[in-house]
Amino acid sequence: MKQTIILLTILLLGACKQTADVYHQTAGPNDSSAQSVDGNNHDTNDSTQDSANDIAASDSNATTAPVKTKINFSFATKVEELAHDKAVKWDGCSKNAFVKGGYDSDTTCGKAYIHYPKFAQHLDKYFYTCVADAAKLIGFNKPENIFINHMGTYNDRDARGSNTLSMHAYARAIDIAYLNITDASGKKIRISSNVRDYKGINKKFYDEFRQCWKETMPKSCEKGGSESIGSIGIPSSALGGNSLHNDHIHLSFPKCAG
Amino acid sequence: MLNTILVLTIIFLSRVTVAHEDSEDILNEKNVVQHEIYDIRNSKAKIHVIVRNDGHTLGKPFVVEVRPDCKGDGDWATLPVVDTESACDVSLGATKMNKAGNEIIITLRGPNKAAYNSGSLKVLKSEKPLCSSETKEQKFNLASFCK
Repeated sequence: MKQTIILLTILLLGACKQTADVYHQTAGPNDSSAQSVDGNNHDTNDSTQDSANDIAASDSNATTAPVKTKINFSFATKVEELAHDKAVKWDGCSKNAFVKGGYDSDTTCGKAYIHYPKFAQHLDKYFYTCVADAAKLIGFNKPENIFINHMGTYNDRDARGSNTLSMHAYARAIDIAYLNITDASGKKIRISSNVRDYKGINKKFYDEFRQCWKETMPKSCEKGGSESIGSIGIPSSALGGNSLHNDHIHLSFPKCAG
Repeated sequence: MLNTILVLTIIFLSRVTVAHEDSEDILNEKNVVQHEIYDIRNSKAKIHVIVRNDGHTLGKPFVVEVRPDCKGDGDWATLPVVDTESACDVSLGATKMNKAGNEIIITLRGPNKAAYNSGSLKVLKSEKPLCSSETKEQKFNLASFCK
């Protein structure tokens, strides 16, 4: 009996560790776009070329797949110590990146802190793919440019109505108000995450996007509430909602994810 | 020995469960700084306009919410939010309905976009939100509610 219990305990511990390991090895829905946040300066032409080479090398078996010439996100080399964790600056203005963005604007770009390395890596690996998947569903193929109109990333504060730190205090979250997507033909679309617009293509897009983001999270986050699914304000939405996220999607990389 | 293993297993499992919990935003009714109720013409429906000040949210501590009460007897906190706008500052007491009765107008100020786009730690650590100097009128269209 004792041996059986010991064996079960060991198996249980092993299973938990395996879950975490599997997460770190799992490729995204389109792994050919995966890039590492390696601390290189992605803003220079040389490093951009390096990134393109890396992608081409990782995609050598798919000979017909297009090779990206741009990186997904542009992060600064310098790792900075914030109040509770480390972070790098995301350059939302980089011309070499597919994903650009700015605070409270559809056109004016800016800089924002993103948790390093976990959230930065995760965004770099999965964000473009999840947007592309959702965009395809509403008739937009292969976004050439994604501009995030956001409401901030790093903010050293408690979660609202709580006395525990928000994911923003770790720079593990970005509040997205609008996504401006441009495809290869120059066609543009503005996706709103405001509750007043949650219908038609906005609804279709966000339901798909959140499902995709949820699938990038490890099993350890499945019972962790809405932090891991890109929380939006509509309680009746496909994955539930948080009434304080009515004019943005709170996209985070919660502690349960690593 | 058997008991020890069982206890250790239970402790381990509870720690795993606790580790899953990440704090999330929770509505705090104490943060409501303005609550006005407007009647919709020729109807028993009412419109609740709530303004909250949730504090620390980066550059946008104020949240304006429009919550229609089509039966006219609901608790505002349980009514659905059908339109909303976050702002750096709100002119409290200046909310009004237009003459036609189909719009709620509220005066607010947005954040200082340039400051927040700089990514400066000094800005991000500022205790008070940095607002734009310009005010604007935000209009909430009521035409489609309670039809």
